[in-house]
Amino acid sequence: VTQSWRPAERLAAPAGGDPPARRDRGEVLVKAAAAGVALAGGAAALVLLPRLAGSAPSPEGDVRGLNLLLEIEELQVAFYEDVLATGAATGGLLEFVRTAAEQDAKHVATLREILGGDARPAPLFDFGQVGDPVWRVAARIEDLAIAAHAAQMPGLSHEALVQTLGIVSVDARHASWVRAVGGVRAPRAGAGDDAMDDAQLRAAIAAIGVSVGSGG
Amino acid sequence: MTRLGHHEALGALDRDGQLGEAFSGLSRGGFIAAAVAGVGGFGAALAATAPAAAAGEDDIAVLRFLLRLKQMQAVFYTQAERVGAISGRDLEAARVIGAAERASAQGLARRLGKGAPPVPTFDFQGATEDRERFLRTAVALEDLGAAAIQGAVAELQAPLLVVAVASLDAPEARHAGWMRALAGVNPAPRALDAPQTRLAVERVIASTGFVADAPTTETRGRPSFTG
Repeated sequence: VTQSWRPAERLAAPAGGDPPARRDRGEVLVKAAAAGVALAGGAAALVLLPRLAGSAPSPEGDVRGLNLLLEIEELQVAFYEDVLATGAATGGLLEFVRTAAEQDAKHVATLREILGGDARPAPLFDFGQVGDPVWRVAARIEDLAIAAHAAQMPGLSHEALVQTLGIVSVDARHASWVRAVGGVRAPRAGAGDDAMDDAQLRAAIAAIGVSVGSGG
Repeated sequence: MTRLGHHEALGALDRDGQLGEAFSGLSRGGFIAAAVAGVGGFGAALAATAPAAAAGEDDIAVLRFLLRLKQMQAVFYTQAERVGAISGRDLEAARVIGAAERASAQGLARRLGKGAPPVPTFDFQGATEDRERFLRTAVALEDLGAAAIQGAVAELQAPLLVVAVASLDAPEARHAGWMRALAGVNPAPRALDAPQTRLAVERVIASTGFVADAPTTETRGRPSFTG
């Protein structure tokens, strides 16, 4: 993957946006949400509406959005590595975990390459309190990447949005795959995905039983 | 689980090699660089607040292309459901995914209004009448759909449409993963999904022969299944 663009360079450059354009962006993005509802044909996309009004593409939005996605991808890798280390998966589930661990590690590397010096340190994750079966946790944390991305999309630059779609698209494949392993059908296949902001993501991660600490 | 890449899974459809060629064509980096370079009108479009003003002719062409793709998927699942050759989990997936594709097609048609192309007549050449062929074709259509949506997001200029169309990608990839799991092939054959250009996707569609008749007006032709 060729990465010729860095948010850090954007941040260092003189501010190019003018205030009137930013206001118009907000209005446009609210309408974008409405269009998203129409295209996705689902009520789930309505969740986007209230969060879009204050969002507009910006270098800061790229750094924030890409770091949030990075943290979810790091959570996925840490979880799969924990599963592999403890031997908690066998058969088809083990095949999924091995593949997802490798592919999500590639997502982490890609996001770190894009972010460069703006990438946050990887957090430390503790899975000691996780009680659900592996497949269910895996499905949930793959969904979280999609939900995080859905909420951050309006604040991402066009190029960052295109770059991250290739990542989130594979997370969506993982989410369906591991549900098939778990014997349940793919959910939310009928419409847009829920969007979750930073606070909602952290609450969802805590609800799974994962503790997040500062990394180094 | 059998490990199959795009090329093998698409083999049943690949009459003249164009599908495989399309999936191995442009590199992701080169494609994105080209797409980003063409975003000159992006800032101007941002200033527009009315949807009609925000969507230029190029964007309308992208939406028409996506609608044609969604029409094909919608009719495929509708026909598979009605023919009755699939059952159980396969039928459930056809119903759920078919409803999603029909909703997407209707949403795009509403957005395009009078500019929406009519539904063509499709001939799936038996792919809806046999379980294995249904699954292989569904995998091909969903993989193609995800690549096409990502390519469309790169090509679109109006932010209104960029975000709206991008929201279609994750559901499409969920469909692809689901159908691949049902077909017994690797649901995630690559670490990063790659976009495809409109031209490449149109070539793939043409190579299938699935579009039997593409009417140029609302009154010409009548599809056997309208989705």
